[in-house]
Amino acid sequence: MHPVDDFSLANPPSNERLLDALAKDFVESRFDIRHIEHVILNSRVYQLSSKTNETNRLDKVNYAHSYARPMMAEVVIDVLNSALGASERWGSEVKEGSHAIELGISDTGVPPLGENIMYALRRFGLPQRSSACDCQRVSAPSVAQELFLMTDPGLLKKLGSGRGRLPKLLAADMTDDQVLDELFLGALSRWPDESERRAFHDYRRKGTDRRAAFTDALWGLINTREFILNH
Amino acid sequence: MTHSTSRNDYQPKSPSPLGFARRAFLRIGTAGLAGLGLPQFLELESRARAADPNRARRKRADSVILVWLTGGPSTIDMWDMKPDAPDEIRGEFKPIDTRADGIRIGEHLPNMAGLMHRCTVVRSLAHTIPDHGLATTFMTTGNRPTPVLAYPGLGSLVARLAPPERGSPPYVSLGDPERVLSLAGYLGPAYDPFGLEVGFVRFNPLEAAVDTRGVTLPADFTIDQLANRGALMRSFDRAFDAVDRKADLVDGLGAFQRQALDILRSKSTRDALDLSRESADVRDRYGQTLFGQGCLAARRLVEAGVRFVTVAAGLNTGLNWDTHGQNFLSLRTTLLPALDQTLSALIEDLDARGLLARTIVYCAGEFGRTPRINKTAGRDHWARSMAVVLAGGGFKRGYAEGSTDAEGMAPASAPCTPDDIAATIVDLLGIDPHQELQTPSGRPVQLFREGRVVSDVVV
Repeated sequence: MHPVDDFSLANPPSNERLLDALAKDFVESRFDIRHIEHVILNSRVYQLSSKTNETNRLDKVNYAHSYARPMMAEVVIDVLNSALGASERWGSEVKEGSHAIELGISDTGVPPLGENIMYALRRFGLPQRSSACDCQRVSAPSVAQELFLMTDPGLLKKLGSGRGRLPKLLAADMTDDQVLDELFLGALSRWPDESERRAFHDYRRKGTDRRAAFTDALWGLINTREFILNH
Repeated sequence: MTHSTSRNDYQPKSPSPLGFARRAFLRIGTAGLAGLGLPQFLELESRARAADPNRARRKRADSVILVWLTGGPSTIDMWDMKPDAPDEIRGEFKPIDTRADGIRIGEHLPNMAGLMHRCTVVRSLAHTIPDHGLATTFMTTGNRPTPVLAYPGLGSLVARLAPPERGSPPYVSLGDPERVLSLAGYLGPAYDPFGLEVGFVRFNPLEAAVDTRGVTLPADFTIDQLANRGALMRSFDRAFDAVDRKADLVDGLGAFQRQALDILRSKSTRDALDLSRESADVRDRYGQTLFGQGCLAARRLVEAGVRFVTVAAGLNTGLNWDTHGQNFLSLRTTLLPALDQTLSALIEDLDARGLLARTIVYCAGEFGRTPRINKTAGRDHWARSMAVVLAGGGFKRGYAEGSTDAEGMAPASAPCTPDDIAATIVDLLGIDPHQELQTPSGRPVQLFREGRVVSDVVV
């Protein structure tokens, strides 16, 4: 279904038999959400790699392989916080450390949300709640989003903030390589490869300030396509 | 009839509909398979552009400012009045003379009346879609909407076919946070508009400004640092080239990264958005409103090299053109004074700076409104007749194209459609409106399926 919450005659599913089978299974499991998640997440199609092979590299429809896709606005906030080791303050009514995706945020522009987070959510497509469905949500990249990731003052502050991932790593007794590993794992869930390691070491040699070099590296990581796309 | 399929300076089509461009595309296609990186791809693309048939065309305008009246303006009370029609059609307003001989417009547009000798008004525009969304798509793409293909908005076409020098975004949209206007469609997200919001300065509801957050680097973030970080980012991003790099999204995002870096490096875009650089007089002349300051920003952006700017005068700017009830009250007290002040300021200012000759100002909405007034003194959606105003960039000065019948229900002479106006604008920008582009799946698509250049409105 695209969009996912628009079940209507005007918006037929792309694969009706599959949707029916899933619906049947959901009913038979007595509406067990964990069960249907389990089924979907373990399916072959869901687990397809976005890496292409000789026979499917030109395919752009029908899921011959997984396609890179943008993340929802709330998820962008969450993955940024996760990569930077930061957390969001949602105000007194919400437990600190809650994920944006758990909250059901409306773009009403009123507290407890700070202005900063609302700005980010709007940039990444959270719709203003001016109609009943979620179909106003725009999940497409834009220059404005890139600019946000590169320059947002709130985000830049988090990069080096005292409670974040980077200061902790720098304070610990770790080699440059170990810190770089941790930053890659935190942002991209993978180790740096040889060329990336080399690029960082070259960069590190040019400057003297260890903290600045790693801050720049972390900035670089959250600005990659690999970081911001679901792939 | 005023349509013509060709003009004297119109170039005959090349034997292959794409001519050189098709070969260039093919080369790029195979180059992509051979594993060329994005920079090489872009270089090939720019070489293809240099050999583009559009290069040889006569180009009479560089930029467009689309002033979009969201909701459908009641043009029968503005640009095409019917003073001799019965009460229930004529409405409450009277026509006034303008500085263009024989052209009369509504009495609540006095400043525009003083400027009509610089404008073309098209009174015979008509289409058949009285739905906001679809009509907006039709008007802003120049293609009747179809479920099988999303056509690009005019701004995206211009961004693709007549891009500016590096450093300024090709296509900016101001005050359209909900993205009502068309996006890049089959051209892919790389050609979507760079959307900026206009808002009131905090603690000062009397001063509107463009939200430049993100367009400028914070104070402690230098251009050198940006270059360093950018280089590091690219070396970390290279691994992703292996992942589905032919996907539009991945490619589009790559283009956005480069554009974002270019914008941050460029002083001119940054300065253009800083409205405080204008004198208080100029700012007041445009109007200290979201719409007024949006139009001022549009002029500054065009000066800085941006090719296409959309300024939406919609709900978010406090203007509701969808006047189903109390049409005359809204027009008289809010809508027309706002439009009259800002649009006239924009055209006058462009002219005074010598920019109007190369800049097209296009003021339109998705449709007109019913000639017959409804029970709540309102007018409803009416696509079968509407009027638009165009100025600058090769459009005639002091000219009215076509007419509607006695009751304003439908065009009476020289009918034209949204496709025709779109083709005319694109033609003035030196872009062949009959050329083909390719969709991501390689399907050739004509820029406009129906559009023909309206030669009568062009100098």
